[in-house]
Amino acid sequence: MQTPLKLVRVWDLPVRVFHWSLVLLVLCSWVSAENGLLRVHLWSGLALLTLLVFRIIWGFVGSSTARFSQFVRSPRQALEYLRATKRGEGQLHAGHNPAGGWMVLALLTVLSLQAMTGLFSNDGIRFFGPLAARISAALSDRLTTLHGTIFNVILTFVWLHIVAVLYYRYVRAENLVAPMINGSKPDAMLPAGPPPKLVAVRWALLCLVFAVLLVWWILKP
Amino acid sequence: MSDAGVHAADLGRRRLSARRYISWVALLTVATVAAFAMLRPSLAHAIRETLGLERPPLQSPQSFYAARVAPIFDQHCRSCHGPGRQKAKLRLDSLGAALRGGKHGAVIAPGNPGGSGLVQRIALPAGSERLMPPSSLSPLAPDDVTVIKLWIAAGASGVQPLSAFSTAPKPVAQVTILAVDPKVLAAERAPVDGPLQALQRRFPYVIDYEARSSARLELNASRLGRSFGDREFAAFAPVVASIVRVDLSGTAVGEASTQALLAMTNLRTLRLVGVHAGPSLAAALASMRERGIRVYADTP
Ligand code: HEM
Ligand code: HEM
Repeated sequence: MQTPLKLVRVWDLPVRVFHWSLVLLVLCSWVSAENGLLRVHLWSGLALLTLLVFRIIWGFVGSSTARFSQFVRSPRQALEYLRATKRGEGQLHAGHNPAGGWMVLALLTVLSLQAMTGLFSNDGIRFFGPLAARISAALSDRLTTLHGTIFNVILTFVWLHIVAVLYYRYVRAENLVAPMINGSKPDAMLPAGPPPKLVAVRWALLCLVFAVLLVWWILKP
Repeated sequence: MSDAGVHAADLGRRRLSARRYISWVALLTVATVAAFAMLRPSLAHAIRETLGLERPPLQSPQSFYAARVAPIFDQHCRSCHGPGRQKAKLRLDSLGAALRGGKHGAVIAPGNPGGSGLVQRIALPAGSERLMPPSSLSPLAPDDVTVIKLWIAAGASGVQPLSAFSTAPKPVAQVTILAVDPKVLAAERAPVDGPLQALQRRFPYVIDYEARSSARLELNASRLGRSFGDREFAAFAPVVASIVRVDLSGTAVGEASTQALLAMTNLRTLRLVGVHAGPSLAAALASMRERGIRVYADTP
């Protein structure tokens, strides 16, 4: 009965690699901090910071579905979208929907704050974040406490994020996870109009190199 | 786009109603939080205590705990196991929290000091990885360890009076703080002030007076790590005679700083944890120890 589905690429490879690396690095940062493996923690935090810088750049120059200008809508539009979704009338979107756009911003913000406070944190014994020496010990201690607090916010946001994704899966029968893995959605899940415009991977590599250099420049003694 | 598009993409999967889904999520959330609370006994205790299902342990201000044990915890443990930081989810800034323990469960077994994780960790040999407080911080005195052991052996109570512990080591005499005359202080500080300010500009937060009432200096470069080496240390030559405490743990200073260290005629404490000491530096450290300077370093 089912016609074969026509697949359309919506997420470029850089966004997908970014997403799943983010998941792994958040887990790695968590486990390493819990077990006092602060060398590992430092490197996974720095990798995360670099990826976040990359993603912010990509949000301006990347594929259409990756761009902030395309998925950041006014809070009113986001609320309207949510109300319509509740009535079962939410519009289809190739990339992030107006509510999801805010979730993306929220996640990117708290993760960035986490990585930035980490740079100034210390473990009270012998480990100091790479920028901790540039501020007073008291301020470094306060930022360390904040670093611990923000992580609880991250956990909450990630939980909400997963709850939302699974809502689409089980309530609206829209699978968003598969597209985040293989990049494509069936065209019945897409709005009418031209498909997303993807930017070539080599440009993403250039942005990544730029992000690495930027982080290196901030941290150089 | 109408909702019809969504139906077309629906691969025959049975859908949940939004209300059902939210109920499942709420249930799962509560279960997850509950599971966390079970894994963290301290969290479960805190919840029960807040709900009034559990009373905090009895305490009296005249107890041995309040007079002898709590001050040790406050001075040596609170910075990592207190309100600001809870390493290993352990807090030692109240009796209730101390008895609850941390991430790996209780650390105090009343009546059984040998079986108490806390005692095991403070009784390790100096330099051990797991020693508490960690070896780069100021260590417990042997009497402190004895006081804690006796307290736990007698039941880790918050009410037993001082008189129940006749064998406990005597407390060290209280230090009385003398009032300082600002003019005298200013005169004492005068020769140091100029070079000190220059050093503070060059190395922020590394050197300062040890107290507001003191003309003596404290130097701590451990936060600068390997970017602080012999050349940087040499810059402190103009004030060496006023320095009483030095922490160079984890820095790159080495043999070339031996003379500068020996020039610190008023030095009382020196920390060099994680610094590789070659032969001349090691010999200098040995001679400093003989002069009564407290030296904390990886070398014996
Ligand atoms: C540590 C955990 C996670 C973090 C920090 C995280 C973060 C993010 C971020 C920042 C985005 C936006 C991607 C972009 O536009 O570049 C996103 C999207 C997405 N994530 Fe996650 N994520 C996490 C876990 C998960 C998990 C476990 C799943 C699967 C169940 C998932 C599924 C998705 C999907 C499907 C999208 C696309 C949403 C849409 O279609 O608008 N995420 N996530
Ligand atoms: C940019 C690099 C980072 C550095 C230098 C850094 C540094 C630190 C330090 C020094 C601590 C204190 C550890 C202790 O007290 O034993 C810490 C704790 C922690 N960090 Fe990071 N961090 C970084 C990035 C991150 C990131 C990206 C995450 C997660 C997304 C994270 C999650 C945590 C967690 C969960 C803790 C434990 C907090 C607690 O016990 O209250 N960190 N980090």
